[in-house]
Amino acid sequence: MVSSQKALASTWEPAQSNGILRAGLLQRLMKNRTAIASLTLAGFIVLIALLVPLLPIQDPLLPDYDQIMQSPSSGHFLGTDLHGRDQLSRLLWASRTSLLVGIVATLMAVSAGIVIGGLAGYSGSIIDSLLMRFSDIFLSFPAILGAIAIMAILGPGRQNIFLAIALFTWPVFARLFRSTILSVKERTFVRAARVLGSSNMRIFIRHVMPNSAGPLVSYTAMAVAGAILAEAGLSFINLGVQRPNPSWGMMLAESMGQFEQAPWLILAPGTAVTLTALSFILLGTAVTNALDGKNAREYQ
Amino acid sequence: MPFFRFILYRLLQMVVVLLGAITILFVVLYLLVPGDAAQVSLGNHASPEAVEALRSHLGLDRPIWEQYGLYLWRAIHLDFGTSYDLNRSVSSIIADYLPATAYLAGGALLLETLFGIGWGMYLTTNRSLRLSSLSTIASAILLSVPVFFLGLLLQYFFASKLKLLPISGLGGWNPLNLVLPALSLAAAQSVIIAAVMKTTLAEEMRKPYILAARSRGLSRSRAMRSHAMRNALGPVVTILGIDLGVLLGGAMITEIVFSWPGLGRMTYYAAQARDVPLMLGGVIVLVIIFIVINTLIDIVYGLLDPRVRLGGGFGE
Repeated sequence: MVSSQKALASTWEPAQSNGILRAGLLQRLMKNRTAIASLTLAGFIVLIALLVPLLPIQDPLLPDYDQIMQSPSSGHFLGTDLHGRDQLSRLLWASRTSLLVGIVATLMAVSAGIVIGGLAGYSGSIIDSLLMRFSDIFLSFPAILGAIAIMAILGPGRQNIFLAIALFTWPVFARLFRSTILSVKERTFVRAARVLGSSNMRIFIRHVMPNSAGPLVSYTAMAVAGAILAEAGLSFINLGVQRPNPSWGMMLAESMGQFEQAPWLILAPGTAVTLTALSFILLGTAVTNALDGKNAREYQ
Repeated sequence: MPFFRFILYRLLQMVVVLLGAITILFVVLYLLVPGDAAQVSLGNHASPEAVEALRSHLGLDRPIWEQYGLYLWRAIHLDFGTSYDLNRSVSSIIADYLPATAYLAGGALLLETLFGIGWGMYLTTNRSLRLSSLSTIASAILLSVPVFFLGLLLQYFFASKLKLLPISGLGGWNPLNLVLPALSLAAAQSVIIAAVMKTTLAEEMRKPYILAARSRGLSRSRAMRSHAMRNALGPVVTILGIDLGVLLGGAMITEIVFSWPGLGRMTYYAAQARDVPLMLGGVIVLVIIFIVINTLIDIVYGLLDPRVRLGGGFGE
């Protein structure tokens, strides 16, 4: 899950991105149908997740043992689960968990990547190779296996999921920032900025960040998808969010044996995870393609 | 002897990575866990004497660096202690469950290799805009489906509805039982193989030696099969090595869905039962297998392609 995204990111090389963000990445994305579709879908899911508390839906935690495993009806649009809880409201509330984990874990990974990759690229020599060997160790772990181990040790809970996922995602970002710094460091405009007295911080924000922006956006989208799938997987094996808080992975696990009698209990959460991950993966792909002019034409 | 040095260098790198991986697990286990590992593993109802006995058995009463040394020494000897739950040595339990996981991962690896290479070749020979967009969408969907959802869907259609294949279990090593779990495990990875295959093969097909072969009268497909393929397979082999880790990790979830008596499911039950030595042993063994196989693949790759070993070992 996380690793597949990692492997994919490493196979699709980010194209030369010299200030491409300013030179119309957005315009190019807007011409791309996949990009528009995925942005719309992702935006829609995020919007729902934000609005859930305001929606007129039932309590996702309230069991009703007179109404267990009811098929979809006007009272319960997606039926009820093994404890008679409303499936639709559980599904909607679970979107918050999923997106929160996806976004927070990825932000943690990006921040760690900026600090460690920045330090490695900036200082060079021994510190650089030490930090890179250190990141190799994390990359050498099958990510989902590492996350499972961490969760098994730390126990279920949201904070632990953030940590377990971010711990195996940051090296990708560290490498990205390091390689951008190395490629920018000796360029004339950075030397000029230095001569003019720019601080390291200013050079990082004004020159390094914009140059890594393109691949950063596509890696980030992929990492969010990876984290969402990882959370679903962890919750599926009972090592994710704490019960009874709903999570798509956990909803699937609870009704695993009920496919014959109540397929809606499996299909709804399964489709929800797939669509959410899909919107972010397509977004990442679209950005990668938009950065690479050749592909952008091919896929439009 | 540059080749000998290359092997030595890769082996050294492997040892460093292995030590690092084991150290990370140690750090997380001993420094980040709130409370006492002995208390955690025995539960809250254990008597203080039992906790104290376990503490000294695990060496928890010694200084941290001594604990680390002991832990490392045991891990090197594949001694992961005794399972709390089953009261047997962890390594012997792991040896019982390992074959089923190797069988599943092997089956999935075979499927994804065949499917990924085939798909990649097909995309390279038939270049149409529609096919390429269709393949992009299909790949994205396969990458987005969680392995457990795909597994349940396959079970529903092929086992419950069509009754073509057994629904779960090892079935006494019956190859038919392997099909569905291997398929759901391989799906996402074969997409990645296909993408790599397509990119490298298309790149090779644009090189002068293909033009030379074509001008000698070879057909496009013949030139691809007997010349470009050989050079394009290198990166695919490397990705297959990385995939093995994903397969071993994903195997845990697949094994649960399909009631597969493998190492992943064992580790899962160990985690549920708070059987720390068994769980940690399972994870460490999976990680060791992954790292060792990746090193072997790198070395074999270096044997096949002199450019790798002459260019040094660092990836980036």
